[in-house]
Amino acid sequence: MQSIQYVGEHLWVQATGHLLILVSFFSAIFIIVGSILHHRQSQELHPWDKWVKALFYVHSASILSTIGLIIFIMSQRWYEYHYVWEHVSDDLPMKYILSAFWEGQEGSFLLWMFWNLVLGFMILRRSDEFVISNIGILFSVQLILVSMILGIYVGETRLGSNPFLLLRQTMDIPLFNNAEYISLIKGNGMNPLLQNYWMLIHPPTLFLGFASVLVPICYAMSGFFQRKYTGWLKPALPWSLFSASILGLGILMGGAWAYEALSFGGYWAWDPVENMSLVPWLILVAGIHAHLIAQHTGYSVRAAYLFYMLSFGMVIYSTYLTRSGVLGDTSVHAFTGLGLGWQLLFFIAATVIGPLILYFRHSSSVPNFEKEEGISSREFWMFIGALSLLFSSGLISFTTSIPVYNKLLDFFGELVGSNLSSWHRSAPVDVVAHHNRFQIWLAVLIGLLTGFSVFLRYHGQKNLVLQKSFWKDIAIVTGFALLFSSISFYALDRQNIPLAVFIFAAWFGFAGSVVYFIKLMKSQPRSLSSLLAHSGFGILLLGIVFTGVNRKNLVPDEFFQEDFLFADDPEAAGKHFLLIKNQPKLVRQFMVEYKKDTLQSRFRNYTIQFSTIDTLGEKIKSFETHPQIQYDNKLTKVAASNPSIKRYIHEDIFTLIAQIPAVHTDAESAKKAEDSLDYVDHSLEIGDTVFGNKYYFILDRIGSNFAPKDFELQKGDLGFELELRMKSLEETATLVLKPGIIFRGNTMFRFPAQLENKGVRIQVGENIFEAAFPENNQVAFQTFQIKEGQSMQLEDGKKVTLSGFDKNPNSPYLEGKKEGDIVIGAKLKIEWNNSVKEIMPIYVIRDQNIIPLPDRITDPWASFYFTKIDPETGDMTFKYYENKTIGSVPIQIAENAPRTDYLVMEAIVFPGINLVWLGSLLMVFGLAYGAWIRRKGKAQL
Amino acid sequence: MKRSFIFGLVLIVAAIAVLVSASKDITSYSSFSDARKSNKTLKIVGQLAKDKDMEYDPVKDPNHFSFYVTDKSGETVQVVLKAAKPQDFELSEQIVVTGKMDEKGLFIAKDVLLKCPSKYKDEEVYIKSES
Repeated sequence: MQSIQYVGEHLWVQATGHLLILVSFFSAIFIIVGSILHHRQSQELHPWDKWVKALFYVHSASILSTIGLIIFIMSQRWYEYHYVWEHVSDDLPMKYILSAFWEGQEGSFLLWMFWNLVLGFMILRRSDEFVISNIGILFSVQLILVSMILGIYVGETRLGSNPFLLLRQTMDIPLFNNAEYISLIKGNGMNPLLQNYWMLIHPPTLFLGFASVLVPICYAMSGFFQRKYTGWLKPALPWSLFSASILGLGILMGGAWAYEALSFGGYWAWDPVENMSLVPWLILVAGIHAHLIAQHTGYSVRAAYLFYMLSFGMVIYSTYLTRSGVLGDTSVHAFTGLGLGWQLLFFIAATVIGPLILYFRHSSSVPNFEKEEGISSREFWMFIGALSLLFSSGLISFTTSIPVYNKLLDFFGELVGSNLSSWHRSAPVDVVAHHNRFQIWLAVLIGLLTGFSVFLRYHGQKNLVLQKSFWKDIAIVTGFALLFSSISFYALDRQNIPLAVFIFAAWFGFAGSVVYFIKLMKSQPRSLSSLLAHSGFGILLLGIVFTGVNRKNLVPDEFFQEDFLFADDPEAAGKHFLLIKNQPKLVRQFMVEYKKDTLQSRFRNYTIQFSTIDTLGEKIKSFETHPQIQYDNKLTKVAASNPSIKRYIHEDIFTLIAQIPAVHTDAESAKKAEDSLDYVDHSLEIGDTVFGNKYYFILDRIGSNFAPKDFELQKGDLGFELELRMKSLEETATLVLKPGIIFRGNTMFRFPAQLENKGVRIQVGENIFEAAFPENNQVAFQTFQIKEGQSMQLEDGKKVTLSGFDKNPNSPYLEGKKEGDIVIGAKLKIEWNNSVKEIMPIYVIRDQNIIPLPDRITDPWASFYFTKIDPETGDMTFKYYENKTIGSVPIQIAENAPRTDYLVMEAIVFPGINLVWLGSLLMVFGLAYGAWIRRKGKAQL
Repeated sequence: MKRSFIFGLVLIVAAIAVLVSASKDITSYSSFSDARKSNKTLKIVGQLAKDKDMEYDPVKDPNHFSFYVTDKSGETVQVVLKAAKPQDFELSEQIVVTGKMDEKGLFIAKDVLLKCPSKYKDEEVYIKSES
C-alpha cells in the first residue's frame, strides 16, 4: 500500500492541520505556565502577562485556522479526509456545511474551544486582578479539549481523535489499491434528520452555555490562588447569570426542536441527553443563589464554591455520557463513541478532583460564620431553595447514570474475573412517570419558596413593622394564588390533591414575584430581573401541568375498549388512526380529511384538513396541517417523519404521520408489495374485453401523451397511456382506469392505475415498446438525405427540417458513452398531420464503428436513425420505420391489490404549551437582564 | 450549630428515603417467563425473530402490529404492539418491549424501543457509479 502514488489527494491540508493542532496544544501549555509564573514572580521584572496575552492570540489564530481549514475542505468536498467523507456528501446544500462541521465530535469539540476563546477574549478585555489567572484556568480546560483532537499515540493509547485523518488511514479496504480511488468515492453525508435550522442554532447555543459555566469557576479558583476568597464574587456574578441564561436557552431550544421536528410528541421526555444538559443548569442556578447570599450576607461562600465546581463537573460528566457511547441503550439520541472514553474519564477526574484539592487546601480560609442564619432571613430560605435544586439534580443524575453503574459493574467484574452482567439494571419502565413523581414535589417546594422568600430581608426581619408588612404581603399573594389556582384547577381534565397543590405552588410563585416587583418597582428597578426569572418559573410550572394533564391524543371514539389490559392507561389502547384519502373521518370534535400528497425533491408533503362541525354536520371552521415524510439522501427509503403543528394561543394541534403504504416507504418494500400481487397477463387490442375474477375490462384507447403528476418529463421521454373501462356483472357502474408507462433511454417508469376500494391494480407491460416500435431486420426502412438548414417533404407527407447539430448532445440513450466516442446529434423537426416534434437522433463513432442512436415520435410510431454523414456534399442520411397502429398491448391486472391511498396518523392536542415557552423564555431573559445590569461598571452589587 | 445540624440530618434522611424509593423503579430486564408470572408492566429485552411473520394491516387496525421477539433466555413469544409499526423496525439489532402478558400468552406491548445500527455511520464506502 505504501508504494501507491495516489492521485488527487490534498495532503498539504493534513500537514497544515497537524501543525495547527500542535501549535494550539503547546501554546495552551505555555499560557498555563505563563499565568502561573505571572503570579509567582515579581510582575515588574517579568512581564508574563504580556506573554500570556500574546500566546492567547497565537492560540486563537491556530484554533480559528483549524476550524476554517476543516470547513474549507468540507465545502470543497475533499473526500480523502475521513471527517469530510463522514459528514458531507455531494448533495448536501452549502447552508448545512456548518451543521455538518459540528455534527461530528471533533467539530463539536472545536466549537467548544471556539467559545472558550470568545470568553477568554472577553475576560482579557476586563481590567480586574483576576484576568491572567482566569485565562490560566480557562486554558487548563482548553488544553484538555485540544488533546481530544490531537490524535497522537502515547505508547498504545491514542490521545484524541484527529479530524485531519485520511479516509485510507482509518480503514483498510481493497478500494485503496486503486491510485485513483478519490474519483470513485462519494461522501457518506449528513443524517437527514439533522438537516434543518435547529442544527444550525442549537449546538452553538448549547456549547456556549457549556463553555460559559467555566467562567465562574475561573473566578472561584482565582479566588483561591490569589487568596481573595470573597473578592471574586462580585466580578463573577454577571458571568454566572449570563451562563445560566445561555445554557437555559440552549436547553429550551433542544426542547423546542424535539417538539417541533422530532417524532416523540413532546418537548421533554426525560431522555438522558436532555437530563444531562438540565442538571448542570439546575446546579448553576443553585450556585447563583448561594452566590447572591454570599454577596449580600457573607454566608454561603463555601456553598457557592462547591455549587459552581459541581456544575462544571456535571458539564464534563454530561460530555462523557453523551460522547463515550455509554448511553447507547437508553437514549433515543444516536451517539457513537470515538474510543475516547478513558480520556473523557480523565477529563472528569481533572475537573472534579483539581478544584476539590484546591478547595480543601483553602477551605479553612474561606469565611464561614459561626452564627446561624435566622429563620426569618431571606438567606435561610434561599439556601433551602438552592439545596432543593441540588437535590433535584441529584435525583435526575441518579437515574440517568444507570448505564454507568452497569459499566462500573463490568469493570469490577473484570478485575475480579467474574461476569456480573446479571446484576445489570435497566432504566425505569416508565421514565417519565419516575422522574415526574419526584420532580413535581421539588418544583412545588421551589414555587412556594420563591413566592414568600422574596418578601423577607437579608439578615431577617429586624423590627415589628417589617414583620407586619411581610405577613400582609403573604396574605395578598396567597389570596391571589388561591383565586387563580382554583380557576385553573377546574380547567384541568383530571383533578386530584397533588395537582391542586402543584397548581397553587405555581400561582403562588408567580404572584409572589409580581407583587414584590410592584412594591419595589420604583426604588429597585433591578428587581425586574428577579421578577422575570421567578414569574417565568411559575408560568413554566403552569404550562407543564396543563400540557401534561390536558394533553390528549386525538383518536376516533371507537378505540375505547373496556376490558383492555392497560385500563389505567387509556392511551396505551392505541394513539394512531387511519385516514383514507378524501374520506373525512370524525375524530373527537374534528372532521379530519387527508386531502392530498405531493412529492417535492426529498419530501412527500401531505395536506390534512381539520374541520370543526356543528350538530348538523356542517363545517364551521377548518385549518390544515402539513406533515411530511422525508426520504434519505439517495431517495431510496424513508428517513424521517416530520410533524406539523397548528398553533393557537391556548393550544397546539400536533400532527405526525406514523405509517404510509409500503409503495411509498422504500424501494424494497415497494417491490415486496408489488411482488405479492397476483398479476394476470393479458394482451388486448382496442375494443377487446378481458374477464378477471370479479370484473371485466375493455380497452378503449392507446394514447401517447402521458403526463403523470409528481413526475418531471424530460425531452426524449416516450410515454404511453391506456384507457380501460372496468365493469362487473353485479354493478351497473362503469369505472375508468388509466395506467401509463414512460421510457427514458434504457430506464422505464411504470405508473399503474389502481381502484383503491376495489383492490384492482392495472399496469402496462414493458413489451408495449416492442409493440409500438416493431423494428427488426425484416421491416423496410425508409431513407432520406437532407442538408443542414434544409426542409423537405417525405413521401408519406411528413415534413422534416434539419435545423442544425449538437456536438455535445444530452440524451438518455447516451448512458453507455465511452471516452473517445465522437458524438453528433442532429436537430430534426418532424411535422405531420397537426403535430410537431423536435427530435435528436445521434450519430456515434466508436473505434471506427458507427452506432446510430434513434429518437422517436409517437402516433404514428416511428424511430429515426442518423446513419451517414457525407462531409463532401454535406448530405446527411437518415432512416426511419413507421408503424401506424399498435396492435395488441400487454396489460397486467391484479385484483388483490391492497390500498395505497391511506396514512396512519397521530394527532395530539397540547393545551397551554405556549405557557411552557413563555415561562422558559422569561427565565432566560430574566437571567440575561440580571447579567446585563451587573456588567462591568454598572450598578452596585 | 444545633439548628443546622438537625436540618442537615433531616435532609440526609429525606434524601436516603427518596433515593430508596427511586431505586425501586430501577429494575433488571425481565424475561417472558417473568411476565407470565406477574401482572405488572415489565420491560423485556430481546431480539426480533426475523424468520417469523410480522403483521401490520393499518386498514384493519392501525394500532395492531404483531411480531415475534426472542428474549435473552431464548424463548420466542408473539408480541402485539398497540400502535403503528415503527420505522426501520426490520433493521433493529435489539429490541426492548414494555408491556404485559395477556391470558392467551400474547405479550401486549405499549411501547417498544429499538436499537438500530446507526444508518449514517456505516463504515462502508459508497462507490459513485453504484447509484
